[in-house]
Amino acid sequence: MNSVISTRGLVKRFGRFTALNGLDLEVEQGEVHGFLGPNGSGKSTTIRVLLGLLKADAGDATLLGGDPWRDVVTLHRRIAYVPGDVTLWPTLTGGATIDLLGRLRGGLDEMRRKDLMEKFELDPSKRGRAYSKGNRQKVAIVAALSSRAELLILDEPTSGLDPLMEDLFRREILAEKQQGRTILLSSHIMSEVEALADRMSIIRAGRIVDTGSLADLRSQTQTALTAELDSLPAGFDGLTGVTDLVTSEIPGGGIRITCIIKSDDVGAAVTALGSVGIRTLSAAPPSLENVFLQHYREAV
Amino acid sequence: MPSHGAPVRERARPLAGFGILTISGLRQNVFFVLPWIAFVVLLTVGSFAAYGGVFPDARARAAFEAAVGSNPAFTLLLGPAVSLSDATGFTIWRTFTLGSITAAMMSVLLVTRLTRAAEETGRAELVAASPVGRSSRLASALAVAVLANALFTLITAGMLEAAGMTPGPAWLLGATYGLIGLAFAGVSAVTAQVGSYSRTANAMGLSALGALYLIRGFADSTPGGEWIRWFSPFGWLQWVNPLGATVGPVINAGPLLLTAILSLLLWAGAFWLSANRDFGTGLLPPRPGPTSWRISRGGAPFALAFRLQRSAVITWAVAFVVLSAVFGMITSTMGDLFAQDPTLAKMFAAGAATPGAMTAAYVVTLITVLAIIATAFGIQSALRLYSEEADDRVELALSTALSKWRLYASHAVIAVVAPAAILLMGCLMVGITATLTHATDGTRTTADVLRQGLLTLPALWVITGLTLALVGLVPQLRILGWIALVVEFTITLLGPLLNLPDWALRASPLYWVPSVNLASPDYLPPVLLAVGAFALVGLGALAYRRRDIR
Repeated sequence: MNSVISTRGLVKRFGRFTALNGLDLEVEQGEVHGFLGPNGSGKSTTIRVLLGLLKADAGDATLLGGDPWRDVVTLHRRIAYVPGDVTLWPTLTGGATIDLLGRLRGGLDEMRRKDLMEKFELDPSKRGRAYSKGNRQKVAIVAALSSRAELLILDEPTSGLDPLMEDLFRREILAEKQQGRTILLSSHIMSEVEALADRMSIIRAGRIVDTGSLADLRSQTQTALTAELDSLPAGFDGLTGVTDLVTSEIPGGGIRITCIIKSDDVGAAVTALGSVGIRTLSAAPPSLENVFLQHYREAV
Repeated sequence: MPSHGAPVRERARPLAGFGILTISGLRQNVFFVLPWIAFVVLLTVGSFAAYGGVFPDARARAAFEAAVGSNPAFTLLLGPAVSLSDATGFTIWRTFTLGSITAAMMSVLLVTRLTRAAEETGRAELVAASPVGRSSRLASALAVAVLANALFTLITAGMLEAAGMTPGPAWLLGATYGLIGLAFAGVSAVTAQVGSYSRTANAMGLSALGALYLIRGFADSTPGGEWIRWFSPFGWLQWVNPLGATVGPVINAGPLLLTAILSLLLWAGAFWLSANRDFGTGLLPPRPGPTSWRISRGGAPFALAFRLQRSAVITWAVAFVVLSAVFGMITSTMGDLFAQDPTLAKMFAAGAATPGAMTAAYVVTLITVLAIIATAFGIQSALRLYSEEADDRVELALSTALSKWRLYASHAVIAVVAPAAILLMGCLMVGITATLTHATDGTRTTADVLRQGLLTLPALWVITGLTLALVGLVPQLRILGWIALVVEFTITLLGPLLNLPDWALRASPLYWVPSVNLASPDYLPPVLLAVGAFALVGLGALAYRRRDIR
């Protein structure tokens, strides 16, 4: 597989604050790559380095085979970007803004522009200052999706969109992927990433702490187990891999437990529970949210 | 029957939250208000204090009075002079209109900030959702305007009194400023209900200001036109005649009262309009704009930069044409005035002996003044590159195939070309009006004036170049561009009068501009200035390309 984005040991400091601290990010051709992290973890800084707006203090970054700082113009003909907080020119209409951005990029698919404008129900005759947050976002989305770019860099693109538009956006992104485009999707909406991303990277304090498909990410993690039992088996608390055990009495007899179990140890734990009479048992694979929270809990 | 489900009928409180809103509005705008006041304090106290030095004796004063009285352009701009034979009369004549315009502008912009702009940005929505009365926001905006104008009156009058002016005229002058401010706070309160955007509201308010000012100018410069004053509050206030307060109890408070009544009427109108419209919209709905934009290939960055600066370019061009025409009309009297007053001659026409030569020297000074004003436009235009960045708009533009180099160039071209163009246009106007009013003795032509303008361009570009270099290198220090302009202004226009040493005078780029009046002007300095200016522009480009975008 070809890497479309590849960074090695990227460092970016703002005065004393280190925003990126040795970031290694790998995005392969044709994939939707989720880029996860809370506010302030370095997502936007990474993207701004990739866009050539910021110069990295150390490390290497390669974008579509070029240097994002040096080869700005040639690279930018091949990429489109949607910021998370779109600021438009107050006196330009939405339609004019889309045409301007298309012209600046060097081309625009007129049919696609028209089609997207209708789908997203965007009024192109309003001026930039008159749009609501969601509509400003739509202007940038239409401009990006109607370009013929190979790589889409989306920084929390759906912030401010209503659920219908968010759904439409997801379908459009999948359609873009079918066309062979690569998409870097920065987000903190787990369901969005879960639904769209082939692979994902979790960033914490300017460093990638986990990367892979959702299955990859889950495998190294734990299972959330909930059970109602007649009683708690002796020594369950000390079993390898069992943590965060919470027990509560069920009125009228019995006990309810919840715990987190390392994925490898689930079998042994269930066997242990089987000896005391299981009434109900549910073991949920960790959601992306669990995985994400776990990475952040470890840090504390 | 138990009535616990019935809504609690509270007394309607349309002004709930008024106090808190007023205090927070005042706190957020105190640094917006103070510079306007400071400007007028400098203007009034400066005029009052400088009078004795500029016109040391009765002869100079009489000459000045005669010159002013015989030139309608002065009356058009500043109003008729009641007495110019003492510092108080001079100060009132010079600052009456300028101070009133300043107070009016401050009030228009202040009220828009507190009303329409707050609604536009969404700040007001937070406020409207909290338990405040329907009319509280407008009422508190007006309260802030009242306090700001009270400060305006107190500070200017207090400082004038401290500088030695008799209390009567000082406080009447101050009160005039405050009252015209209140009236325009009312105008702005109305336009904020009419326009849906702060830009529209401000444009309407400031246009009203301009129109009313012109009506007053027309009334004062038209023989027998005093009745026209009735159509403009600026005209009414001419009847206040603060000077009357020095000679006796002939204080003409009528116009002040009339202005206060007008303010109250405007305020009432604004409240009525505000109560009858929806939140976030004005009476004028926003007009739909073009749904697409055809831009030629490769021209997009320049099309964008020009689109962004278009209204500024047009405004400056119009202002320059009007200003230059007036300057040109004043020219005819200047030669006679200088012949009688050596101090003024030193200030405006150094080194000239005959009235004709003095007029020619004055025209050179005039172009210097125009160049200083055009430089302000150059700085403003250059800083647009930075404000686009500060407002987070360049990020989206730079994510396209637009290079930082071309982005920089698109704004730099406008910052270099547009001020130069309006300066040359101004020179053309000065030349034409001066020729029409027979100001020149026939030896100087409009072509000479234009030539002088061309020679001045490099000096104009030096400060524009400096500003661009700052935006590229150290945008945090961009204010140095404005400081350079203030220094240049001080050195060039006041330097000779203050007998500054030569090395200080040489620090101004304008010092190096040769006069076309000389037998053989030295063209080397302007060439060097141009080289330096373009080196600065280039330096800015290199640095801008290398630095992070914030």
